[in-house]
Amino acid sequence: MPQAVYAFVVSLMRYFFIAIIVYILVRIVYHSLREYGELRRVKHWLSDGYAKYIEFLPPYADEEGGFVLVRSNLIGRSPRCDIFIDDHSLKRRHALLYERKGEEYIRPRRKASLWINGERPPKRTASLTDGDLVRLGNVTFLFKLRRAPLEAYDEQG
Amino acid sequence: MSAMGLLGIVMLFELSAFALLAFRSEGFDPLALLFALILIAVLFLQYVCMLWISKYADRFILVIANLLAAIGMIVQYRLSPDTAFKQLILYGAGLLAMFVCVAIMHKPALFQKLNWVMILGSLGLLCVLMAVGKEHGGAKNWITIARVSFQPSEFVKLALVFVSANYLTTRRSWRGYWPSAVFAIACCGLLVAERDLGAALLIALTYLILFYIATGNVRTTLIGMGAGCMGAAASYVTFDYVRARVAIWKNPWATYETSGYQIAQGLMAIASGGAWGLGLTLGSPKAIPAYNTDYIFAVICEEFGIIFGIAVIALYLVFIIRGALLALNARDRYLMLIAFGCTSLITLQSFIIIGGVIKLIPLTGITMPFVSYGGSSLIASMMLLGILEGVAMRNGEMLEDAMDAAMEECRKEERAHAG
Repeated sequence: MPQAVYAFVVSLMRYFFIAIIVYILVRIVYHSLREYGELRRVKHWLSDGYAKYIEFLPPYADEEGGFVLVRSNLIGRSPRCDIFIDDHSLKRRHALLYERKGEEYIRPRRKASLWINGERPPKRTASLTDGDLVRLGNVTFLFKLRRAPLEAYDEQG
Repeated sequence: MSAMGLLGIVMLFELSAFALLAFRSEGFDPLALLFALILIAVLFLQYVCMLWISKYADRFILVIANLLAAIGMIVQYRLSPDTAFKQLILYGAGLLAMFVCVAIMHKPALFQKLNWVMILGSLGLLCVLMAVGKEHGGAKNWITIARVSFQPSEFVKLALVFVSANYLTTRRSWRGYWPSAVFAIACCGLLVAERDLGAALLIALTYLILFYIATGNVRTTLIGMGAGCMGAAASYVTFDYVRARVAIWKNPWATYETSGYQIAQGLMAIASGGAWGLGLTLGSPKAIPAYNTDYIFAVICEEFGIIFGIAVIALYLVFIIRGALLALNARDRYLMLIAFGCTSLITLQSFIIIGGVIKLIPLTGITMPFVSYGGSSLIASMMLLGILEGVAMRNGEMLEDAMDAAMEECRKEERAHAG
């Protein structure tokens, strides 16, 4: 490569390097803030004795019987999902259970089945409340948002 | 999932920088691309391994540390490919050390048993250093055993964190704390005698921070700081080289021909880079003494620009803040102190060297964590990273346990209601 062309490319590339490192930085800071907010919320809940979880009904009720939820949880047949159920009626990534602005929602993938308390929700994204019976394919679970009477988590441990 | 995209961007950065280096000379240099591919493969593998060990591993500090190491190796390759390959091998060794530390942090009590071994080992190493150490750049801080040379002070600082965390956790009063204080002071004294001022400063400040965090005792901490200042003043009066360092810092241009040359060259390199830099391979960094170890920050600023340099400092800051949050989230006092100690080591070390290079504080020879060339420094930094990852994993497990316990409480209550 001629020297002049190379020098030109190098001087262009320095803007690219600066852009890329600033992008990495911004992204890391953004995700750190989100993660920190999530952690604080979970800790706050725990100190109040709250728990958000789902309880599977047979045939998928295991010994533990429940699964604690975080901000967003992917349910599906793929082992890479947060909640992994090996049932052929589910899609590989069937639905997302998530929280936004204090409200709980469930959003199935396109053409993935969802019933809430025996009815198909009118929109794709449906909101959930405590005690809802949710069915995905052949899998049924109860959605629970509860306050424990005892101090389940104290700050000093 | 989100960090996977981040990983891709870091890989893109590495690949483009090495592609630029490959076309540096007339022909095409395939080794540069090979280097980039190895780096990318290693980054991907260690990321997957770390998340395989525990899903609670802190992905962001891992990515930051690897990005910093990659920037270091890009600059090394630009300066001389041979040292870059050496650095790559040492980086591999550092990764191994990191995973060992992660494994050990699952049983941190092991370190508590090795307390006296660490104390005697560190002091012994520093004493041996006094006798047989090799002088390098004004400081006598290298030991060579069978052609492998290493810097004991890098490992002594790690031992200090573990020893002080142990004493400050298991004992309740000053009567129990004193061995750790004596250890810190002895290390400082030996390091000052070996003219390794940067390491001495690092150890003194780290111990003070740990002591303050553990006890919250303002008076004793202030007394300690006062003693530290007195010690610094005393060394200014007694040792010529300390006086010389301060004089150079005050005005490097007065002795430009001799002792001020390094700082002056570093400042000129940063200035010639400007905001946007001269462009990779277009600067002349070899004019600065110690260009690939202590002064690597000046080289980065010259070729990548000051904005890039500020971004590097910001990456250190994010690393430090995440480390401090990890420490605050730890539910075990011992782990909290260790995490804080490791974070403050990175903090102080990066502050001391970057501050020295930009003439904010007097220059004391110390390496830039993750970036500088040097096996001991890189391995010690990777060990710090491994320890922080171990603490992060423990935190995640604790939180999961707490969430499960909360769920159990709710279910018990429900059953009681129903029955």
